[in-house]
Amino acid sequence: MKRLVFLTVALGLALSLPAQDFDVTIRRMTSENLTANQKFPVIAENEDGERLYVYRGGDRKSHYFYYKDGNWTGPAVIPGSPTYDDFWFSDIVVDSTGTFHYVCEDADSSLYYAYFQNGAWTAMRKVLIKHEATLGLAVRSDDTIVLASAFKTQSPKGVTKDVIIGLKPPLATNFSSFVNITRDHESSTMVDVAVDSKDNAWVVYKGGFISGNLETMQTVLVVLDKANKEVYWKNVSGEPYPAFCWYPNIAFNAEGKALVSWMLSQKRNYYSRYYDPETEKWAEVTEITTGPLRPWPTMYNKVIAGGSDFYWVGVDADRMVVLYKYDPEDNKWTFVAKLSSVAANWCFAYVSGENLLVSWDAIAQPTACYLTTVSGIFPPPPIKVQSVSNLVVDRKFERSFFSGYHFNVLTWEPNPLNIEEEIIISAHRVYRKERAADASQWAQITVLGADVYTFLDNNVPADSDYVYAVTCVDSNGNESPLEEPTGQAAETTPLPNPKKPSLPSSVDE
Amino acid sequence: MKHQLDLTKLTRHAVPAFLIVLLAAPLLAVGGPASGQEETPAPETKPSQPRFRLGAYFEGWQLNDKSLTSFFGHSQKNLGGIEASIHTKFNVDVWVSYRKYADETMTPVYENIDKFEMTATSLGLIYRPIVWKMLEPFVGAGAEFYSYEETIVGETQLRPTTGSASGLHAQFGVYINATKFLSGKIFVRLNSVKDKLEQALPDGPSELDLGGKEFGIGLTFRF
Repeated sequence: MKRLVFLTVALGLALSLPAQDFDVTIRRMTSENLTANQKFPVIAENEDGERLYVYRGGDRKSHYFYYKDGNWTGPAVIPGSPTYDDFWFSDIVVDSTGTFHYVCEDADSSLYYAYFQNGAWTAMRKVLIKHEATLGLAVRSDDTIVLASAFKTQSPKGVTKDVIIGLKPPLATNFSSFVNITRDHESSTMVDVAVDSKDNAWVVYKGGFISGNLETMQTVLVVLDKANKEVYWKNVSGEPYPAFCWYPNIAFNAEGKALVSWMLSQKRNYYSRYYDPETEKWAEVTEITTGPLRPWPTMYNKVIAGGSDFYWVGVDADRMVVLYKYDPEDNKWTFVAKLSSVAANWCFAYVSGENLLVSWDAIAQPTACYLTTVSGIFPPPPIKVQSVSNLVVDRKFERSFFSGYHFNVLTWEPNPLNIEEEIIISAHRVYRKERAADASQWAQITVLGADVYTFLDNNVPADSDYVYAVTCVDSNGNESPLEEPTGQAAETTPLPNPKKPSLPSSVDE
Repeated sequence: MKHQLDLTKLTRHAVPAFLIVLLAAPLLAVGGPASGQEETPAPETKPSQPRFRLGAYFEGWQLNDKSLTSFFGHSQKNLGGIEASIHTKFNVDVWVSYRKYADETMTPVYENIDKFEMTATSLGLIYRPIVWKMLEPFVGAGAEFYSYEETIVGETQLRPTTGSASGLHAQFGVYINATKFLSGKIFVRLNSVKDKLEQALPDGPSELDLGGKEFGIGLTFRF
């Protein structure tokens, strides 16, 4: 009888425990014999499996490790790295060509930018703003890098801190087009940014509001369209607190839902809020229950999305890096795993396919930098269907003596990547636009069967200069990206090879 | 050096002058002698002329319209025609002719057969200033009436086109009388026929120049 009870209890316990079908490995990146603090690491990986691990070294410069073909090399100093007076925040993103873009701060002073392509850095260059703490980066679909940061201005009334965003177009070597997006409040800092499927920039920051003698803080969301015009404004954190809404950050999942998290110093906890842009409904503010935090400096947290799921990585009350998962049905967070082996100060997370990469530094001095890899935690990314290959447009003119008509003959071939991935194509969609028109002007002109590799666009005007794109739709209804043709001749307009356009190799200071 | 009449240079302005000569010639031929000149006695018996002529001819036809001839690929088409005339008086005949110009090519993309056909009817006067036993040179002028059609054979988006045009002609030549009833004929005919198109041609022009020159030989039965 006792044995039966024991077995029942054991079975019940086993069933109640969450199944852990992922592996956590922790790697110390910086050497053990260093005497100076190594801090604030960030990590990113491109689609070729190359990783960059960048941190502030003991000499107060930007150092990095580079991972390729299963091997780490480094550490090394990024060329042109300044010696920072103070350094908290940095961010790193990867564009569609696999180029890494890195921005870090010399806190309360300057921002610096460099990119890493084909195994080499460009020299770091100063971003020309008077910087205030924190920054965030995001990538638009055309590989424009969006930088969100804060800057301060000195006026007779005192110091004003505002949030700005700047853009770095794909072939530019620095950020420009800065726009102050702050409304009528002061002391606005702690910025992060994410880009939605329409390339709108969703900027979150710690907004400071003054009412009488009381300054309150809120987590503010501003959504900007591609022209950097505000299209949405929201106090996400709800009631204003006479305390800091620190380090807010934002992410989108694969379904386009948004989640914002922040640390609230007054309540000594992390909070989040879930938003469904489709229904335009915000969930209630909910705690990410990690226990009462130490007020300082435990504030680093990052919300991430793996497929349609949201996760959160932060430093908890025990100063351990922990991973939580969000349940949108119950609007609650569930502990998933501990990701650090020792007490941590800073953490940063990057989703790479099925894996989660978390860079963090230990709080014990001399501080060291670590990398935690959570393997297989996310569902494998859906295999993305690719557009057709070798699209050729032949401009033809059929005529009798008295009349005639222009038409364009499109021919294409199946994309070998789709064949390799055994993606079943269910249809081809043909799009057309005038060459000079922007990407929003693509118009679908027909849908063809999966086994059709030619199309006649009849009766096009004689003076037209159309360009075409042919996308593939897979058996699940997913459509390949609509890409901008680059061909110059009207007669032949191949789709571009989306691989690695070269950025200018020299950088002017 | 022997000067030749370049018929291709006979422009629209030349046609009215040609007609004046044509109309004046019978008067000069049948008019009385100039005053002061000695009258010649009229022949006692003037051989009667056949009243009717029916004939067929074979000719080369060169159209002026370069767009058309280059599209269809032939600067000259050889074809047959029929003609009839009736003698009135003063060696002047009323003359009518019918022939059909046809050409074809392939459309550039789908290679459908593209047919162009033009029926031409001529109505005019012929004056034979000298009537010898064997030779009867003639000049003539009159009107041209053309009806044309382009059709494309097979499945195509190209629509057929029809049209008509009229203009003037001038001609000269000679009848060669072989027997009492049978004559040969050599002729040159110059046409001036233009048609304004409602819709410009694909390569630009909005006027069709169907004028040109015809030259050929024929066989005429006269009675």
